[in-house]
Amino acid sequence: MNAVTRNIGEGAPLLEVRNGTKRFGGLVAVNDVSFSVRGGEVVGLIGPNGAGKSTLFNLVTGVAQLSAGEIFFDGKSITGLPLHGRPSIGMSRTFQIVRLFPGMTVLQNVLMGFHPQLPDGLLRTLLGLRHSLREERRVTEKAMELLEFVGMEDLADEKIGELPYGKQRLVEIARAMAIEPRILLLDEPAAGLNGTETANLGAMLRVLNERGVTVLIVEHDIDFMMGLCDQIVVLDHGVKIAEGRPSEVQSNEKVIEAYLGRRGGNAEN
Amino acid sequence: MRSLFRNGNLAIVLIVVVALILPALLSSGYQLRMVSIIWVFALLAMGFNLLYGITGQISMAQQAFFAIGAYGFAMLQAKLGWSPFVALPVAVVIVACVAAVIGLPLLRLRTHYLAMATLAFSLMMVGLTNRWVDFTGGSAGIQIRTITVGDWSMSRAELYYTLVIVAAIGLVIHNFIISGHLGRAMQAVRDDETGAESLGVNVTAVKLRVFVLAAVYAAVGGIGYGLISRQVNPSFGEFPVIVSLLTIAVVGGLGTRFGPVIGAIVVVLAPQALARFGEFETLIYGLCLGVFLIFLPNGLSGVMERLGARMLRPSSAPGRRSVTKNIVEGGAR
Repeated sequence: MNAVTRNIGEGAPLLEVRNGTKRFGGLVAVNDVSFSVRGGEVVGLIGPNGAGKSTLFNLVTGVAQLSAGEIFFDGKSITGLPLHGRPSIGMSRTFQIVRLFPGMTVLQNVLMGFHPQLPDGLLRTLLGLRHSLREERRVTEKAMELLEFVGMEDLADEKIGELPYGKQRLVEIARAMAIEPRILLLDEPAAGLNGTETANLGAMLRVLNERGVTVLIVEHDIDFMMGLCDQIVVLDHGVKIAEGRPSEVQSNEKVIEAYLGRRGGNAEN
Repeated sequence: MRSLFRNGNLAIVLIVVVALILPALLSSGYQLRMVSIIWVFALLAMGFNLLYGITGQISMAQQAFFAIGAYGFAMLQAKLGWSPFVALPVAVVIVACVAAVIGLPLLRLRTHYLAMATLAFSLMMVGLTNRWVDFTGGSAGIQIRTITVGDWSMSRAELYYTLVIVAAIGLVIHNFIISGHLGRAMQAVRDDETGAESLGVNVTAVKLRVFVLAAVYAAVGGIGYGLISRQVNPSFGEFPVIVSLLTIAVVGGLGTRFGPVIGAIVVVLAPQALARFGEFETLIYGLCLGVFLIFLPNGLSGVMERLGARMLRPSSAPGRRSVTKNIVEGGAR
């Protein structure tokens, strides 16, 4: 549906992986994969278990280092950029298993997303005390708006451990949005969510995308992906085997053989 | 600026007022010495609380920085003839530099490895202060003269007031860090380093800065202890100091705003109260500590927070910020 209403494939690539390769000893987890995400798109990364999706995702987010190849963001190489340098250029991510700070409240967790915008270090904070306090108030208000967006403003003072998993995922997304990202990188966001929660998540991501956030998703849930993505990249055994619109990918024979066919067969049996 | 006076700053004002009135109620120089030491240990514990309680980096080197601060202050005066007002900041800067230099390699280590490495450093310092007699004065230590300007020299009571003011400033900074974005980033490092890093927190920088800051707190405390004792000797850097520090952390409550002060009050005064039990003193002290570890894992601050929360907001489970406010209001009644 999105593919029809918006102009896909016209924007310049925001994120580009060129010949990305990752070896673990003798095992080639990701083999010479190239793909790009254009500004405004929702791109999905799918593939059967062990296809190298998570490894590729870790390369893009900077958790793992490439063995060969390069990654560009907005035309600049980010191949060696440290993890903590990524939020400030507009890259934001969520984790496969929700990764929140258990010792903090919901609001404090979302506030962590504003970290790159706040004064760095004690001296700088104290020297610009009025500015620091004003900034703290400003981001707290914004954090509350984000919590409202995910429907959790009432739970702002709750500890993370007391929330059900689905709510924790929403906190993580609110926190990722606090970075005010140009691209949102989501690692299996629907994992562990029930049907309703997954549908809500999809609707929420669509709203964010319409507000101009580019999205790259790794996900197992095929139905979720087909409804959401403009472009889909399919991996199998570390190699890119297909790329295109959901409908194209769905009818691609290689993909059916590697993934959909096998899955469809299981579902029917 | 109003927010500076919210969130427990009223409690700091109360603490300072009580602390400043206190000497008028004391009858002996010994008692004044005891209450002075409370503030020394409170400062030491604030640094440790930021480092371990908030940032999760265990350090067994706090007593070493405590000692280096005091030694630096004493030696700059005794050997170079510097004025105490110059020796004090220079000693603190020296400690900060030492902490930065050893912190850089050590903070790559985590949990008990970090504890062992910092312990090794402080054992070296103890060895150095004991054995290098020509330089450090050996086990006899070095004298620290009373601060004197012209005809005026600082009395014990004046030293006490100075310590209260310094500790109060330390506490304001300590609480300001904990309740703002700096404390959040530190807690994020404690809870999940990779998670913090992926949100833009420079984890290495945060750890190193807090390590240095904690060392500065320890150094200021050490200089205060030197002035109270009128000397510095190797015992400043020895094991009993870190044991007291850990006890303060347990009793006061780790990661809380007022834990260091509450803990320091109890740990300095409890042995006085227990002295009447004679040979059973240590046994009872140990039992009490065990009770704290098992039944009050969040220390006295934790108990007060819960009581305050129950008194003022019986139904809900408020977050840390509102709880602390409750204690303050509860305390003001």
